[in-house]
Order: sequence, then structure tokens, then C-alpha cells
Amino acid sequence: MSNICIEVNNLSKRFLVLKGEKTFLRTLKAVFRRQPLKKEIWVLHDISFSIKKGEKLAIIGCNGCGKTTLLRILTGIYGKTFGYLKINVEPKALFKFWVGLNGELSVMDNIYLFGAVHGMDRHFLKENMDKILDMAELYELKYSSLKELSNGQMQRLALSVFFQTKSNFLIFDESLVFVDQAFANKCEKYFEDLAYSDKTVIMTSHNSSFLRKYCRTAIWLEEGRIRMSGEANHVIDKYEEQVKLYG
Amino acid sequence: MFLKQLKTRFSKLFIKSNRHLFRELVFAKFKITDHNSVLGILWNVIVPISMMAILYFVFRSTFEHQINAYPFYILIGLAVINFFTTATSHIIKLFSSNRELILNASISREIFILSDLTIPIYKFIIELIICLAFSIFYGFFSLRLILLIPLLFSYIAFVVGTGIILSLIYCFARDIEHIWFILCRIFLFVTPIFYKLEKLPHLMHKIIYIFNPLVPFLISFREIFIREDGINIINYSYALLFGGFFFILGYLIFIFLENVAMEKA
Repeated sequence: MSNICIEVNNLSKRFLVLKGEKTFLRTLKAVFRRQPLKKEIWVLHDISFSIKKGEKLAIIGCNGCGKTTLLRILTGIYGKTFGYLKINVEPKALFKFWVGLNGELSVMDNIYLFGAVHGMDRHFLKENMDKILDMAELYELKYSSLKELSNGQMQRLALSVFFQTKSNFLIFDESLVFVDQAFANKCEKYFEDLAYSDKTVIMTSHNSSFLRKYCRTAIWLEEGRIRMSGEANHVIDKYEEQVKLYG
Repeated sequence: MFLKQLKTRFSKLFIKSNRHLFRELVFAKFKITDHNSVLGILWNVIVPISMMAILYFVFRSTFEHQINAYPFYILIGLAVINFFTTATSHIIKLFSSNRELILNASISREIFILSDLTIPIYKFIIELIICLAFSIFYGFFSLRLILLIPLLFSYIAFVVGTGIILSLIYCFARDIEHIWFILCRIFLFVTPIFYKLEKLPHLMHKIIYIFNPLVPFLISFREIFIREDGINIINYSYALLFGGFFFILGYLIFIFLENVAMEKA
């Protein structure tokens, strides 16, 4: 059986973006003169790498370098434009924490809904309800409507549910941004366990000490291309040098 | 190649986690629908009955002598058109209203179509149950009501197919929402809800039958519920085939365009 979770070869992704402000007149002109209203933007160019089972990979790079797009392709949300992509293990990804939560429902109902979005069934979530509510520190508010919670509380709830997933391949895209120190300490325990588990993990974050601590390998993306890949500390050092030099 | 892709798609669609997600989305929709409502589920009975009463009192002097069981006749028409307009209005914003979830979780997009449809289907079924009660009241209840089951599936398929096509067009041109609003108002009048199609001039009758896709369904629903004459098998079969055809057409377009539509939504 293959030891590779995901294999990517010369993967590229193109988006079409508007050349200028879209007006009715410009749309008409574009139709009659057969001039395209949009231009191509290549978000990812010739990306090649593979992830072994159990690997802990960090993806670093400045905003807009293509990290989230790459992760969305790996999770099957976006299709690729060119290249080869083989996914042997389906990942479970946490992108924006609020996606899958519904303000009109109670905290408990949101646990079921958010859990289902991330592949967990009601029976499993019922069994782990106390654990989730304890971790999120929302036990007293379990029947309250989600809209009564602060953003921080919602994030704690979402992370506490997502941490229960049994998937062997996890993706975290800037998931710990905005988390307060007390909850960050709780998350440490989870990520420490994860770092020593046989699960495959991909993380993106602008917190380099966090990535150094839990990832063994890293890929540095720059303008949609792989600038460097290899041992996490080395790649992150080089990236930080670059950031210090050029901002 | 395409068939293989379709097979993979279906096998992925019916996996356990998708079934759980569908169930949770449906639970959520039901909880939100009757949230903070005093009469709750009763509104599903009050609205069609009151609409039927209004149309009956407005048009009874003109049409009641031409049509047997006129209130029941109106009610069937309202149930059929209400489902069509509410379900298509729900699905038309499928991509834009679920954009965040579609872009941030790897979920089969069909799950959103199905979950968006549950409330309109639930309301339609309640309206059909009211129709059943009326058929007992008028003494029309018979075994022929079994024919409702395939017709119901076919009608839902037709509405889903239409809704999917509209939702894809909506991603490219949002004008379709306004155009559809106007078309739905037109459908109210060019569908024989409160009048009899046969009473129209022959040419008008033909035009409405050919160009209004709701008419074959409505005729079949009425022929099954109101036991007057026999059932027009050609019309009934046409309705069944038409529903299936529209569903397949909508779904194929959806498969080809869903990624482009998602990026545009």
C-alpha cells in the first residue's frame, strides 16, 4: 500500500478576474466586439510535492501567495487548471471557523451541524458533547442561541468540535488566529498530541514559532511558486530572513 | 469516462458523512423555519386555505357553474404553482447563499440542493394532504390516488431541474432573479388555477399547453384528485417523462458548470 497521502505534480491554478469595473456598457461592448471582460491570473504555477502518511507539513508565505488556494485544491473544493493531483487519503480541513455555524441555532444544535460539516455523526457528537462544551467553556450556554456568543466563544466552539474529528489527515488554515491565551494553552495539548501521532497534518499560519513546534517539513510559497521546501526550521529561517530584508 | 465520473460522484454523494450532513442541514432548516412563530406548522395549512378562499370568492360567480368542486379545483392549482414558485426561488440562490460553506468545506454540492428543497417539499406535501382531505370530503377518494406517487416524484424532478438551471444562470447574471419573479407572476395567470383551460379559445388553449410546462402536471394532478372522467394517459405519461427529462438536463448542466459557477457566485 502506498505511503503517500497526496501527490502533486506541476499543478497550476488559474482564476479569471475582471480587467476593469464591470458596467452594463462594457459588458455589451465585450459581447459585440468579442473582447473578453476578464484576464487570467495564475495563482499557482507548477507546484510539485508529495506528502507522506504521518508527515507534519507547514505551508508558509505572505498573504495572497496561494496557500489557501492550494489547500482548497487538496481538499477537492477547487478544481486544478493543469497538472497531476492524486489524493489517496481524503483530508478534513478547517478554513474559516465560522463556516458551518448558524447564528439562529443553539450552541448544542451548532455542535451537531458543525460536526456534520466536518464528517462527524450525531451519535459520536452526543457521546463527546460534555468534552466539547468543557473545552469550549460553554457548558452553561449550551441552550443559548449562537448569536448571543462573542466571536472568540464561537471560535472556541468550532475548534473544540473540529478537534474531535477522527480523520487521519487534517488541514488547518490559519485556524488559531484570534484565539485568546487561555484557549491557546488548551490547543497546545491537542497539537502536541497531534505532532506525535501518526496523523498527517498540513498547517498554515503566520505564527512561525507555532509551525516550528509542530511541523517537521515546510513549503515556502512565493507568488504561487514553491520558493523552497525541506526541513521546517531551515525553510522558516530562510523565509523570516527574507521578510526581515524586504518586508 | 463521463459515466465513470458520474459513478464516482454518486458513490461519494451517498456516503455516510453526506447523509449525516444532509440530516443536520434539514434539522437546522426546520428549526429556523418555525423559530419564534406562535402558530408554527399551522401556517402551512392557513396560507393555502386562505388563498383558496380568496380566489373562490373572487371568481365563483364567473367559474363555479363551469367547474365541479370549484374550491378543491383551486386548491390543487395553488398547491402545484406554490411549490413551483417557492422551490425555484429557494434554489435560485443556491451557490450564492451557500458560497462560504461550499468554498470552505469539501461537501458534495448536491447536498445543498437537496437540503434547500426540503422545506418547499414539506409544505407541498402538507398541501397535498389537505387535498386528500378535500377528496374524501367531496367523495372523490379512490385507488387511482396511487398514481399520485410517480407524478409527485416527476413533478419534484422537474422543479429541481428548473431550479438547478436557474441557480447556474444566477451565478452569471443576477438579472435572472428579477426576470424569474416576473415570470412566476405570469405563471399565476397562464396556468389554469381558477379557470378551465378548455374554456379558452382553441389557439390560446394550445399555446398555454405547449409553452407552459406546469400545465401537463396540473392536469394530471387534477384528474387524479377529482374523479370526473378518466385519466388522460398521454398527458400523464408526458408529465412523467418531462419531469425526468428536465431533471437529467438540469443535473448534467450542473455537473459541467458547477465549478465555473462557484467561482462566479
